[in-house]
Amino acid sequence: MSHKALVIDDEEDFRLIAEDILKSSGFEVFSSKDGAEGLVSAKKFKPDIILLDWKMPKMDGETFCRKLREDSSLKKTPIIMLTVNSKTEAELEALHFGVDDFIAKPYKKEEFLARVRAVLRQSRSV
Amino acid sequence: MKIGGKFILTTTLLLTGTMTILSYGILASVSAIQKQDLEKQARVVENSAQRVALDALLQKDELQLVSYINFLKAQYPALCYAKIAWNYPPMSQKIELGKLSKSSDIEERRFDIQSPANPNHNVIMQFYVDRSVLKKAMAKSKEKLAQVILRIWGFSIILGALLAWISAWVLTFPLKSLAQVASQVGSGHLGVQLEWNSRDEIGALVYSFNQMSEKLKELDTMKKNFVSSVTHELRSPLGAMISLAALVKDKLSAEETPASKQSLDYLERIEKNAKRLEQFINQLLDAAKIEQGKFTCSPRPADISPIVADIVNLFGPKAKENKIQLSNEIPENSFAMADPDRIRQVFSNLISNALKFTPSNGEIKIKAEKFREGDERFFEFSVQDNGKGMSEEDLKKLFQAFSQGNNGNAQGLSGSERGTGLGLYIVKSIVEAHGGKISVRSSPGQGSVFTFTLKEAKSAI
Repeated sequence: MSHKALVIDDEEDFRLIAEDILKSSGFEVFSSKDGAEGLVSAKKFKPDIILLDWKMPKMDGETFCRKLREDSSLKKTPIIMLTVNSKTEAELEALHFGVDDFIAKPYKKEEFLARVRAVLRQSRSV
Repeated sequence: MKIGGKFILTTTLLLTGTMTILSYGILASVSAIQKQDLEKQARVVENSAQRVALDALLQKDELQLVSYINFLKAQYPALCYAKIAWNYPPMSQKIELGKLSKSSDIEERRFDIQSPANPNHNVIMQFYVDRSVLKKAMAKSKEKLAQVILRIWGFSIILGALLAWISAWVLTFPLKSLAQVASQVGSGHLGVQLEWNSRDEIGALVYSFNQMSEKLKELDTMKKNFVSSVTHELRSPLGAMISLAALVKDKLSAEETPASKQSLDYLERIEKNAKRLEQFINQLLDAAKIEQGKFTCSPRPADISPIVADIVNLFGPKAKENKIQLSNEIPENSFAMADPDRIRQVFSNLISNALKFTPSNGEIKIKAEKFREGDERFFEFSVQDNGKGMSEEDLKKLFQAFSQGNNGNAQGLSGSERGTGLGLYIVKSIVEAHGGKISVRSSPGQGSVFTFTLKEAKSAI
């Protein structure tokens, strides 16, 4: 059974890249262009993993995380933060807001998939 | 000499000159007036003596004349000797009063007085005036005056110098304060203001300076924000380009046509240039953060050896291509207090620089030594090459932002190899953010050794 991934990013190019990598690895991918739309999609499709951009219009990554954790059916969904900030800053932000991992843009396909699979494995084992 | 000193010296010299000329003028004028007074006095005395002589002739009373001349002698010591020839036929007599002194400066004055009643009745008076007595009297008076003038002269100079010192202080105090604040602005503390409320030229100068400082701060903030936001905005599309190029490369790799091979080559070139741009933007962002004071590191116990091993592996192919021996001599379990990503940046930059400036068949060594300072233990990491080295001039500005030694051009490095001029500035900031120190030893033809220190991690001791 293929995993469902939700990509939330206001930049179409990055959505396209993430979708391409995930789809070519057998994921079923849904995408949204901001946090508000992403929250609706998450509730609708119940993804196994969410790949979330941090700085977005309407609803940013931080607000999305908080709202997702308030939803009992989605609060355990693992989140990987996608950011253009430097790794150290992203790491600090990720730790602070309780996301499971982060990937700095631009990323390599192999690193991207490795992190997605590692987070999925970790969430299954919890 | 400082402005205050110059002002005091100039004012005092000017005052001294003016007072000296004035004193000399007063002294000369007073002497001339005194001389005129004495001449006038002599005429008055001579006239009165002649009048008394006439009266004496008319009254046939020579004793009256003698008595008056005696009186004059008593009054005027310069009149040292007087001869009176009294002709009043049938009586005539010669009277001498006083004694002719031996002075060579004797002036004789002769007066012939005839009675208007009878021309045969006359008297001849000869006055001998000792001018040296007059001169002595004048000199004494002049000396007294000179003493008074000298006191006034000295007092005026001291008072003038004191006033000059106060004026100099009043004038230079705001200038000194302004110089201090200007020095702060010069050292990067933009926006510093000087409190000074006066409506004079200095007040206007301070006001203009404060405005300039404020404007500089605004411009600096604008520049930092601009660099920060522009670089951030640049990273996003650039990141998309790099990722998309990688995806296309993946898809083309599956094909084995000549066209796809050429496309792959071009894509690799696009990727390489985009990465070069990305590195520059990242360094610009780091530099902007350093300037904004937002550059942070999170030192924690970290083993430095695998970090260096990774970087050596990464640069291995390039070193091999240039026939450079790249040796990692850092022992395993070298635990230091370090932010691994930042320290990776430091080693990566130092090794990359060493590779750029080391000729074929050269050698680059990465070493670690432990040392103790007080109660604390430290690592001293070094990256040593046997390249062309650097001149004193290059070393001075090596760690400044956007500064590169002449080596970049001298060795004919290509644009991609020259770098941004920000690398060592960031490296220095990273090391200092860890509480460490970075230094370089280099001389032309002798290669370079970059060393930096990090605290040893306690958990590994």
